[in-house]
Amino acid sequence: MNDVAHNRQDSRVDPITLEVLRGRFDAVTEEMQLALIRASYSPIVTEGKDATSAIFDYQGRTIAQPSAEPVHLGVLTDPAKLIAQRYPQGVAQPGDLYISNDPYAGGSSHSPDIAIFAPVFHGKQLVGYAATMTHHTDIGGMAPGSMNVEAIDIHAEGIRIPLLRLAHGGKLNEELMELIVAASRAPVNIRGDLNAQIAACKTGVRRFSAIFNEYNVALVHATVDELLDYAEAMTRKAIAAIPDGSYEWKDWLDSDAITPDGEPIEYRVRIEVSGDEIHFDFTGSAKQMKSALNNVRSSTVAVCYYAVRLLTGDEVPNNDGCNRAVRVTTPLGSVVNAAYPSPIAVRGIGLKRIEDVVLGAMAEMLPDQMTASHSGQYSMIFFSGLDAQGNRVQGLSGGPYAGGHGARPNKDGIDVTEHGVTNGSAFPVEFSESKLPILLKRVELWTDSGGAGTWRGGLGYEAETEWRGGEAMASIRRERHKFVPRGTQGGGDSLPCETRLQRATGEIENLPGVARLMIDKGDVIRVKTTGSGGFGPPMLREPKNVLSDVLDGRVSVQAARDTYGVVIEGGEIDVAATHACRARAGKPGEAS
Amino acid sequence: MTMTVAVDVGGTFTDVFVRDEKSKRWAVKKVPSTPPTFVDGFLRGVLEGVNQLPGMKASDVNRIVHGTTVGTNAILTQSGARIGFIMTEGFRDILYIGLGWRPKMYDLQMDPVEPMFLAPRRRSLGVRERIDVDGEVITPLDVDDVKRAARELVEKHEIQVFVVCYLHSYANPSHERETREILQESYPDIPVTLSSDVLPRRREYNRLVVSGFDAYVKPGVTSYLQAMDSKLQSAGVHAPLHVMQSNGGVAGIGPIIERPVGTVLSGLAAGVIGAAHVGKEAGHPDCISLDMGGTSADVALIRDGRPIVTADGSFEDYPLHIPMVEVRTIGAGGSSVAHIDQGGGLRVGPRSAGANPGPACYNRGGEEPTVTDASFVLGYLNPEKFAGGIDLDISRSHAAIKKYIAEPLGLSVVDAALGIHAIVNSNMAQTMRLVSIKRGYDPREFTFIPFGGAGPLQACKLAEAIGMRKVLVPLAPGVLSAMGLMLAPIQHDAIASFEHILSAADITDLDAHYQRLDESCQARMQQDGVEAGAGEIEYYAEMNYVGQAHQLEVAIARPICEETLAEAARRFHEAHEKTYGHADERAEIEFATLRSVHRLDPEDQEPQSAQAGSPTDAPTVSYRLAYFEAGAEPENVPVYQRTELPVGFHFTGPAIVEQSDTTTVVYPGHHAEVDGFGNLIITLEYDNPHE
Repeated sequence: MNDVAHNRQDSRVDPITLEVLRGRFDAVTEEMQLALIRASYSPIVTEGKDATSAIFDYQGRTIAQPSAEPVHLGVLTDPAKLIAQRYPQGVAQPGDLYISNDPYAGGSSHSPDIAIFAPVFHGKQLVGYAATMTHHTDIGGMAPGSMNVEAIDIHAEGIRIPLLRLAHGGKLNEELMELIVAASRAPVNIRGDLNAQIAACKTGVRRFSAIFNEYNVALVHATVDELLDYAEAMTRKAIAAIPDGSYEWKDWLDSDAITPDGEPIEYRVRIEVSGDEIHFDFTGSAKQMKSALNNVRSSTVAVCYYAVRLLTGDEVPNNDGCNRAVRVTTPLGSVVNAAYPSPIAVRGIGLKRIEDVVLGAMAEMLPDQMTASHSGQYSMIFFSGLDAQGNRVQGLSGGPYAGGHGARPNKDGIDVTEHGVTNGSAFPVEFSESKLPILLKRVELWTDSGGAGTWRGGLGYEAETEWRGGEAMASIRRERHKFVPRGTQGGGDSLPCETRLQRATGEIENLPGVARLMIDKGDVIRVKTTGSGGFGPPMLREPKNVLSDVLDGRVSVQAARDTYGVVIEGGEIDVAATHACRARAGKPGEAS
Repeated sequence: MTMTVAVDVGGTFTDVFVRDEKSKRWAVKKVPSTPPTFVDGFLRGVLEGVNQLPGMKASDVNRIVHGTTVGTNAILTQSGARIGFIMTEGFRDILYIGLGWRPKMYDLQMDPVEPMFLAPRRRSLGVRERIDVDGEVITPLDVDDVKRAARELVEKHEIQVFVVCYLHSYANPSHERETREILQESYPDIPVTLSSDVLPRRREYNRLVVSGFDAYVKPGVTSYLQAMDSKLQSAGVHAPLHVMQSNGGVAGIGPIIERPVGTVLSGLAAGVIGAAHVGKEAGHPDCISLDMGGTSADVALIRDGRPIVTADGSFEDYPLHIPMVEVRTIGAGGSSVAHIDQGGGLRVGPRSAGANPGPACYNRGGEEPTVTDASFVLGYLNPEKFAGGIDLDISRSHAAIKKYIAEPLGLSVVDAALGIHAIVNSNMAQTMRLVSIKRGYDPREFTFIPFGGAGPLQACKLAEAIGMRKVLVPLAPGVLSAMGLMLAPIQHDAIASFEHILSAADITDLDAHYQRLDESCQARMQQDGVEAGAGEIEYYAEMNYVGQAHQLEVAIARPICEETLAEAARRFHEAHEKTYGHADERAEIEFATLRSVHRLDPEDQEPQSAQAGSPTDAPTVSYRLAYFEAGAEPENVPVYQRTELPVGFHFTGPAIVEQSDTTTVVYPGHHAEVDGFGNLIITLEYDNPHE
């Protein structure tokens, strides 16, 4: 048996209790998550699943979190520790609730994410906390949706809630609640979503404290210690298996999205592996931007935690132990660690680039385990304005918002799917059209957008959205119009994104990735969202896989010949021509 | 003379349950299944089953009820029909773009979560047409486009079934219906599945998946049932053939062939119905049933003697939002493998050794220890009477647990075996808790009904883990599914989309919607020989607070009037409070979907009492050593034979009760008693109540 298993003989908790309690902890958060998603109001939660639950011990250490958004996992770790300091035994009371959304006080990673914590008691003893975090539709600020690249600082991005008591000893602070609701342009949503968060926290408190009724408190705490040690051991083991060394990757945002003809914004990471420790160093990344694409340190750290979790897989419990062997260096005042009061609301765009560099360096480090670049997209179109009857409406457009998932060392990438640290769901078209005066005219895979390769990158998509309301503002938040997702090990890149506005009058404008514009009835926004990078030389792709892609319209006949060297005539492979074509390319493949 | 025959076809065995409708005598027969067609095994089962009751012959059969897994298997093995999709232009990729979400966050090797095997993208074509969210036609249906697409699908791709799924067809099905007419005119032999028929609800991906599955299983289910019917006829059985549906009812083969997706999850429903009836009959209308076999365990909640029906179900990871008995499957069974993971943690399942190689003690090459191996080590199972015919080597159970679990963890073999049981029970307890609390119920108020080969062995410890107080082990747990088939009502349901705010709903319009649903159900009930007015009708509405996206379903009474609406609203607030822990009486409620259920229960609801617990002389008792507590000495435990236990017989654990198809372990301190129906009722008491 391995060393770790041998060490377990010295453990303080018997292995049976350990496994049983581990299952109980997971079940608590699963139940919280169920209540949170289903009782919420906003599509971004009910459809997009941009919400999460977790439980912590009395020291604020993460014990469990269900499958949700990886980026939320990391960002709740710091606030939980803050809560444990601010509301420890003696200060916290049963029935309390604490609320915060302040990214500069360890509250969340941008202001729309509001976290609510509830202390958990066994009798009079504080034993832990239950928490939920939800992305709220609107928390005020200068623009509908509270996510505007042009915000000059965090104060322009909506209400700032420092860490406060939302309920005291079971009594809800209605006045604070009213203040938050009043700040929002979507009061019904924010009230409903906060209520769902509170209810999910209460569920967590009930189920978590029930465990202490059945098991001795010291035993549960010892179990938590051991589960953390266990996750740490699994993580260290995975890191130790990586050859020591340093691995680098760079990538760029097209611009800061507000400076006309602005320069590209560089993201850079160097990963150093030494023994069973891993260090992510972002030194050299660009200075923080004037626009709201910046990230606070907790988001950057969350990406690194996510990358390390890829080494250990879903079987390992999601707890603080996973992060002990991980060190992250982020220069203050940079795009990966913005200083107060930098605007950060649209941090999702920068976050995807942090993810790209981290995963890019990981692929350099472990080429046989990682993937080519994902699409690096979190494409959003937010509408606010008048519907056809003159009522004010606002919300996110429907359809997908991620592009392709990177090709793997032994598999194609996945078309249009969430990847990396984000994991939302596409809004159904029929659902979106019921919430906003829009008509989607098309949502289809984008032919040839998957990076070519022995294993092809996942495809991106093309979508067209017609506005059917009255005067309105469209806030478009996309990226990768200049810098494309890259292939790896000889695989090809994907295509750059495109964004166009077709006016009702017929004229067409090209738009940058990030844009705000006035629209009116009949205007159509047309987007092409990039796929992902390919893996390995395309000339080595099995011709029958190329044929299949052509028949399914994922690859054009022309690209099959030019990029893959596979000649297809009348729905069949021309074997001789393919041989000749691949021979000319100097990379003979088998044209079977 | 008349008799009913119920046939439950499983992968290995076909269980037959026959009952004389006059005398209420019944008998069971097990015959080997005959894959891949199963027809011969079915027929043999029926004929041999009939012979079990003296004096009966094939022509005396007046009803045959059947649970089929033909559709289920077609999906599991991805061997269904060649289907083609006709979609709204611009939206041919609803399946291929899908949800874009991933169930596992850290798995870079994942496959898409969508059922891509239904058809490659080349068989999904768009045609010009568009209806908007209000059901208004934006672009009329282009008839030539439909013909062109159909020609391509038939001539180039040789499809066997058309699926038509247009955007917003739940709000206005006219384009889909017009398309069907065009298709049937050109290709009268190719069946057509319309998404607005199968699932008239918003959310195009969910509607497409169910419609796709319906078409995918249609040719297989059709030819299977038709072959079965004609073979029965030629064997002299001229009784109607009824087939189990996932909604918990049965239907004739006509309606089944029209909508075969209804059978896909039916395999699990029959057992739940059997459990529900056993529980109800014995005075336990609120139950949780657990069917635990070799590789998995299926948990269901039963309320007021009826299984909970959901419209939010799924099959594997695929949404299957048609009404179905809500069953949650866990990867835990007798053959679940115990192992130590890389970090040194003891895990049980979801990996299973299955029937081959099976547990280590089967001596068929299985090296790793399973739950069944632990049961032998603990003395719970009798190697002489296990799983008929397998030559067991119990020393291999010891050796496997010692090598793979006990030594690495520094435990004794017995403690390791107890640990394996504790962990598998804990895993199952989480699911049982979720199944009940998801609906806002407290599992402690429910009776636990375990069945399947492994269920009654684990049951009492499981019940203890979630604080349940009563366990009911049925007299014949091995044939509960076949019995459920016999007891299932003839049932049809219909749903329609109805998106209006409750306070502003047009009562006449709402009532007219239900009227149309009734007509649709009635037509199918009549097809199955049920006269209009017979049986019962229930109405449901899925509702949410304005602004919410997910619904809760509540019952509503007809004819609709102000009072019935107010009552439905009250029920909705209550359900919201119960399910989510809060309600908002001031908030507006809106309707989403309406459902009508027509059902006719079989006349006789007492299948079991005729032979319940026929008392013999005082039961014989043997003894064997069994272990119950870590570190403790083994106890010499009385072992009873179930068939010998008379009504009223009672005892206190530890004890073991053996019967041909299962073993019940009564743990120390638990009280057991045989009730008037032959059920073994085990009562648990707690010094320290949970929560």
